[in-house]
Amino acid sequence: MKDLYYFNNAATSFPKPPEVIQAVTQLLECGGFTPSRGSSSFIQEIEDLFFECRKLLATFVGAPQPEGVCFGLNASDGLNQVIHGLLLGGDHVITTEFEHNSVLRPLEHLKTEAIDVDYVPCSKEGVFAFNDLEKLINPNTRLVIVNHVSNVTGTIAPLREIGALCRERGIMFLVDASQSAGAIPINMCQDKIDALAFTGHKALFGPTGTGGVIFNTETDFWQEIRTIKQGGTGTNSAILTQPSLLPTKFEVGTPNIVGVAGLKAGLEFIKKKTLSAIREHDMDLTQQLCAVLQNVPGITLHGLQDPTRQTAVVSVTSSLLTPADLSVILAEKYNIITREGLHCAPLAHKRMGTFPGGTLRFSMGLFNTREQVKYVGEEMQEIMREWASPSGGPNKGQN
Amino acid sequence: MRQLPEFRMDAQEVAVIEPCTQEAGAFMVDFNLFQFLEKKGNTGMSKIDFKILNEHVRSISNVASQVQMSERLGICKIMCPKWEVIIARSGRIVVRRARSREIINLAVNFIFKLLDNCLI
Repeated sequence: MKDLYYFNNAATSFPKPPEVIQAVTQLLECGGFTPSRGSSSFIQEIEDLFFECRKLLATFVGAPQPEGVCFGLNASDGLNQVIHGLLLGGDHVITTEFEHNSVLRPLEHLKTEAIDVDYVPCSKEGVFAFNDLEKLINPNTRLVIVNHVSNVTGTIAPLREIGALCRERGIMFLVDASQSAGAIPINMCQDKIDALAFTGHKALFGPTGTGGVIFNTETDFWQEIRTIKQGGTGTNSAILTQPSLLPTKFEVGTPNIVGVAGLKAGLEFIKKKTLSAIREHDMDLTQQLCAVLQNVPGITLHGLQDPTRQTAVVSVTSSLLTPADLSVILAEKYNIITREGLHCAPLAHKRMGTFPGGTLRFSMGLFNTREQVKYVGEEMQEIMREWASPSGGPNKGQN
Repeated sequence: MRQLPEFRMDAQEVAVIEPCTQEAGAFMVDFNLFQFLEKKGNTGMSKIDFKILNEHVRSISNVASQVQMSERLGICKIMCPKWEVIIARSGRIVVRRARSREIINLAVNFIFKLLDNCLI
């Protein structure tokens, strides 16, 4: 089997560390007993597993209490919980043009329920001015949502100033950490983030179907959020209403125990490797990838191209091939896996001038190497040379 | 004798998705020809001969508005007014811009006819 060159870590990280695979397998072999639903020692172990995972996550993102960690399906699930649970007709929300559809779609849906939405304009690299956000605040502003890291360009948003502003004005601050959790440091207390949506299957190395929302229990915003799902929690069973305490307020039904076991192993793996070492590795590869792609004729790089201000995501377009065609060639001929298209961020691509075809995105992770990046550069050179040449290029075969 | 079966779109055969990279309402079909044939009980072939395909695509200029091909990369792109398709040597076939299932059927059967004598 040919070597796989996986450059789609912004979608899902691959491969997973052996520790994660082992944790998942072990749990399936030993029995995935449900926490809070029984009293055997196995169930106690699962309870401990959940608590340890909450503790690791809370420490990892600088949240004050592990109880604030509410598990759900993924970041979209967490974002929906806060957006739909908080907003009421007449409320105003501010977000940015570089959000994912996981924010854009709930907000556009809520526009039909008399909720006003304003988008902070961004540069084509995904940078926005703090003043532009501040100017949009009005007396009805209830929520500010910022994508910590763009999944299209990797651009990192500054959170501290926005968090301070929101706290001062009594506005809830929700951060989408889908791309940042596990890639760059996050500190909910220092940055005054009231809620942080996260996903487990990207830079946290967990399995798919893990994620949710982490609430900052230093503020009371979580108490204002209505539950959008109700059901069994294994606790307070005599009461017919949803428990009001964290985390059970927002966790219903049997949870993804196998997933949480994998996520915990992923977090422990990061702790062992250290986030700073991972960040350094990502910055090095980003620098190298930008450099090699800049040398490919007919390729345009999008985004900041500054590893200190972005994660390991590099988006490109070609003068000769659509991103979709380039992606097929890379996959079929060279076994290089990328992601083409709009990356569920249509407003970002409109701003970048790459709508509707989108870009071709290379996104790297801890298991990518300098040799792989070099290979990508060489093969991109070959594709562009070949497609441009009269012997094998466009229109050959046309009468 | 024709090697490739008639293609009829249904969810059991290949996945049809509405891509975000194309205009609203357009479909995309992305599948591997050889896996498709295996499901139909037709095994033994695993590559598309691009030398032969190169000769065959010359005959479709009345249908296609543009053909782009690279034998070296093992890629052939055919654009028609109502659909476009990219064919990889490995057998991957991606149809885009088709606005109905009928057009997908039309496009894939057109490609199957083109590929019929190019399989090794």
